[in-house]
Amino acid sequence: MLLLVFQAGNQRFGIDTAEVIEVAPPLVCRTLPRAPAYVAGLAAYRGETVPVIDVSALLTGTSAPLLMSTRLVLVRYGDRILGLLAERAVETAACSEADLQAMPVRVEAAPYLGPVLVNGAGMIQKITVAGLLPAAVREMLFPAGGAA
Amino acid sequence: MKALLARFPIAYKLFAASTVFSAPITLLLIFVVAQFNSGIHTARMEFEGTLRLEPLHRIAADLRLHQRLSYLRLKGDTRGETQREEAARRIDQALAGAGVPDLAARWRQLRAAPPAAPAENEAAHRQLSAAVAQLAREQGNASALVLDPELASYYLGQLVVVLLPQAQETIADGQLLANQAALDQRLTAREAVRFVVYADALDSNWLPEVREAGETSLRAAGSQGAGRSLKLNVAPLLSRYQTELAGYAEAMRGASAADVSGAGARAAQAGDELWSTSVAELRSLLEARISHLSWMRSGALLLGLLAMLVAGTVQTLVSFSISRPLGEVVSLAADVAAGRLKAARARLQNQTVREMLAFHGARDEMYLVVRAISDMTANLDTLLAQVGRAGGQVALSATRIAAAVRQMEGTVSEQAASTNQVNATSKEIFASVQELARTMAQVSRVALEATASASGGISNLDQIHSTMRSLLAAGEALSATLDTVAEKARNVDEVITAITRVANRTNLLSLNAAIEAERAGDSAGGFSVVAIEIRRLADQTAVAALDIEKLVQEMQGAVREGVAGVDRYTAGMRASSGAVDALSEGLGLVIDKTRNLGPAFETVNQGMQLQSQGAGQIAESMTHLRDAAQQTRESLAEFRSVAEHLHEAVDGLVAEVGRFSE
Repeated sequence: MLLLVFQAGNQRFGIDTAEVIEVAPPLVCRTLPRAPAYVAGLAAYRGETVPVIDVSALLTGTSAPLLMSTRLVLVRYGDRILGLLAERAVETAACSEADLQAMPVRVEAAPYLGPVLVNGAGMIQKITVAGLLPAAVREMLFPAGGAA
Repeated sequence: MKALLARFPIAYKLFAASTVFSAPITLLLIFVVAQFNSGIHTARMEFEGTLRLEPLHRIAADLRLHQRLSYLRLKGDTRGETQREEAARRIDQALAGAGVPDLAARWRQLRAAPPAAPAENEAAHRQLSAAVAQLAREQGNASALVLDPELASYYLGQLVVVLLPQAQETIADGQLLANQAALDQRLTAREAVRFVVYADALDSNWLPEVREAGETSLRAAGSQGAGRSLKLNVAPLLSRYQTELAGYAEAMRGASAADVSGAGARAAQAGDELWSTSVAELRSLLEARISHLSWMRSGALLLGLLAMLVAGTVQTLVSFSISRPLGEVVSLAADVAAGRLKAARARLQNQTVREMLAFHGARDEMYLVVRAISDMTANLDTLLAQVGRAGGQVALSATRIAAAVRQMEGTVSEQAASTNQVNATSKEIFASVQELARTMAQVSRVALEATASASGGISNLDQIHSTMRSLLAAGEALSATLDTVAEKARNVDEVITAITRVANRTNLLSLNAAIEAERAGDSAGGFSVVAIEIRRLADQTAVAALDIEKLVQEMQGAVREGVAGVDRYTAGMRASSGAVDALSEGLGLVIDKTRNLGPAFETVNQGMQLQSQGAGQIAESMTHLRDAAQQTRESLAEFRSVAEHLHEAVDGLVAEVGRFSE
């Protein structure tokens, strides 16, 4: 398994690259009024309108700074595409399933927190894309039976 | 042996095995039939023996009659002449058809020349009787009558061949003696003794033996068919014969000639009847045995042949049930092995195979094999479809990777161009700094001269003044040069920003390459290594760019300090110039001022040193940067070759899969 490592606050997280379509430079987002703070807005990716989530804002409450190393990670969300704005998404970490240690605690409000990989550079927590959005937000961004 | 067996189809081998098994069974059947045949043959022989015994028996009886009547005729009693002639004729007829020329010749001799004396008559008849008895015994032996395998017929044969004829002989001897006694009208002591001897012989020898044989035979006979008839017919005759024989023996002991004669005739008749009945019963026993054995033989033969026929049919059916589906299975397996899946699927649709597949719960291995091959073909289909899809995906990934590599090569070239630009710029900076150093040396020298001049005296004031002006001009030139340096440094800053952007782009591309390589799986194992390597180089580039940025900032700081120093120096110069112009402050002040220039020069000099060092470090960093770019380019070439290999492998895989979907 190959994890795409990024940072939120001073913590490091990883996304399974099997779920990643592409890592792109951050795109200009069209903001959505009255949406939660961590919904960065809509971006046009290869002719498709893709909702973008600011992962730093979701995980730490602070928006990702617009640096060169802040990148737009396009992931598969079911059969749709979701954009994740991730800070310092510049490296990968290879590991096997056995290296991942299950979380000893369970945070009900954050079902996307997965097992933890401990390597030489510290701890990397795996983020499960499928659990990233609460039902209400998911319904808002990907309305069932909606267009496309 | 294995190789030899492998040369023949299974049906042939089954046939060979059944043939091998049928050989001993056939042999056994032949033995059984031969055994039955031998039993039947023996019984037939015995049957024919009884047929031959009858005339001999009659000849013996007639001979005894003829002897007795011949004796009476010799003694002058001719009452029995007609009876004698009849007996003689019967003997003639019997001997004529009996096929015993020696015996017939001796009888003809007796007939042609009848003996004149009673003793001769007795001797001649006894000889003939003995020959006939001998013949009868030989007949019994030859036809195996005395060796019969069954108890009832064995004892009956014993009775007929051995015991009864001898007993009859003894009875006849008693009758002859009674005749003699009747003719002589008296009974001599010698004759009385012979009567007692005959009676003893009958009583204690023949009677028990006949009884023993007859009763054993009756006991051994079965209670059905021929055995039942034997019991019904022979038992009363046997008991009557015993009674008559006992009566005869009693009469002989009583020694009354008339009594003896009558009892003898009765006993002889009872014996005759017993003999005839026994022979008849013996025949019916033998006939029953022959028919029983024939029936058994037919039964055994029929059963054996039927068993072999059934075994043959079953073997043929089994052979068919194996060889026909096996042929289908072999063709199926050959189709699958050769990659003709379409042909294999068509074959799975044919009648025989469909029937086999439709039969659930079969435990016949052939059915199981056909089902397994059907499942295997279906699974192979699914697998091939999956492999085809996976191949397509990998090919897509490979194409994307190749595109990413091309893009990366472009950015690396861009980076190399930027690097060259930086290099040129830093060389220019170096040249500017060199120039600055030279100017500074000049300024220093002029300052020293100025000091000397100042020390020289007021007379040199004009000279000092002009020198001051040139110093001022040099300071201004220095300031202008420093501005140029600051300008160049800004250029370096822009280039550094460009390099950082390129490094960032390279990092992004290598990330995507690593993701694609992960998606391509094990076949792209080389990619991920190269992707990580490129990312490492990009990071190094970024670090080097950061270093350069820091150095340039330091250099700019130094330049700013230099400018400040030069400004201070210029201000000093202006002040000096004013002082010189005024001359009111006095020469000492001028000298002090001039002396104050020393530390300022020192500061400027230090700035110059820093700049020079900075430029050298920039050049060194640029060399590192160029090396990194070169390595990046090499890695990219390797990356591209790996991508081409992947493409070739995928093409091979797709071709291989395509071969199966014919």
